[in-house]
Amino acid sequence: MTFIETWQITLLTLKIALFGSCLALPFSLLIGTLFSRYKGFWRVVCESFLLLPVVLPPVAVGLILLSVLSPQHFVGAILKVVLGDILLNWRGGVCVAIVVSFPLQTQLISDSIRKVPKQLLEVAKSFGKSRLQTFWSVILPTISPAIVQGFILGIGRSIGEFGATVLVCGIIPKQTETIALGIYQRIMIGDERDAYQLVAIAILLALFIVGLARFLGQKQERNLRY
Amino acid sequence: MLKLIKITIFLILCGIGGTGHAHIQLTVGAASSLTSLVEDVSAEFVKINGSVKINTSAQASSYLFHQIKAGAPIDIFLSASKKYIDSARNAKLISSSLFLFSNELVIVSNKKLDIEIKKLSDLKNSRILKIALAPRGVPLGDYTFYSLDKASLTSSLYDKFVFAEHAKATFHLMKSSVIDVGIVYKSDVLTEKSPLKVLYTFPKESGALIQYEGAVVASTKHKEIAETFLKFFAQQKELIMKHHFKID
Repeated sequence: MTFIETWQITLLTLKIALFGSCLALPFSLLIGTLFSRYKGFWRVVCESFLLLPVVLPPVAVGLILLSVLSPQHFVGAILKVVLGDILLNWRGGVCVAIVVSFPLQTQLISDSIRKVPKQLLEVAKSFGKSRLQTFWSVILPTISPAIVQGFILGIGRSIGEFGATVLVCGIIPKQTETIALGIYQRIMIGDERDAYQLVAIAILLALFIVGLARFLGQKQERNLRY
Repeated sequence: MLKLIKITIFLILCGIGGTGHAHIQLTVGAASSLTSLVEDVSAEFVKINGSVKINTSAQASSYLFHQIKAGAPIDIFLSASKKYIDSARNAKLISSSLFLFSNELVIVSNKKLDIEIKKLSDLKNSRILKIALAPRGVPLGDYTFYSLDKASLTSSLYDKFVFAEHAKATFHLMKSSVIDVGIVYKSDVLTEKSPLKVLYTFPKESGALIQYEGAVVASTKHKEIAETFLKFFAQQKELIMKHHFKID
């Protein structure tokens, strides 16, 4: 496997992961905030549905997404008109990445918001700040390490994504062949040495990402200790 | 930290650039066992039709069928089993199809077993403890079980089965010496570098007709060139035989 090939596969994987994790953030912030505020039966129900991509076998998520993103159905048709081909395309990979990053980020963010010291919120209230202003100037900066941590974990999860990606994107070299798909394909056709090369890269990436996420996790804890 | 993120994003955007899109892009969905053959044929095709770029997604034929059914932009479907082309035809997903070539099932081993397999039921031999084969649902498994069912051997041999989804997985199991024999395509055997002995070739009468069929997907935007490619593919007799498929 040439250096350029390895580089292309790695870049494509990172590109999809970055886009996916980024685009999932706004949704995660919104839903995470809602989850942190409301308790009770309906929240548990919603949370269970939104956490499905974590628990379901990825290939099941893939089958569902294949249907949702199909240009024969509503969502897929709109996306195709606005963005172009989604299936068998890196954009499909981004959709998968969004779906798998979202639950991780939402949990982190909602847990973090709940841990924001009540005193900070009360001080803001006593200064006459509205809820939105409090969110913007108090909560958001306080939980920012959690947001970044969620962003990074989303990238990590997207890099590891296989089952859903193989159905939605196929395995097209240079276009949809990510590290995970590349390893699988090379084992299938017998290029084991190349497969192990990709595994090594996957390990390096994973170590970097997990390390970064843990470091930020510690920083978040320090932030909340007043 | 922020600077690092910015630099990373910049580098990735550089990677996004890619080649221009002046060519016609054909997407070929091909069965995994055809990966290297399609690569070779595509290279030949592009030599003649320089303005065409061929992207190949090599996956399980069943996955390809699901993707085509969901409207994925696949122009040509090369299936390891007639079954999926027929299903696609029934679902009105393809516009034309072509028989490509055949393959054969063989029983192989990398161990010195000192036994001869003259007929399928010889698999019952007590020296054969574990048999690696593909499960039903993938073409290789469907063909294997078709023959085993026809010879009424499935239930008596069941305890010996170790399932491996494709030939490479079977060869992996063989290298770790956990199985005695494996059932794979003949074309797979001759691509494996480690020493393997073919103990038995399933005859035509055993029932499994391994027929590779190709089709042009109805929703393609490049119907003419897709049909040209399909016909070209079927005509590459030398390359096909080089990759150890059987031309009837």
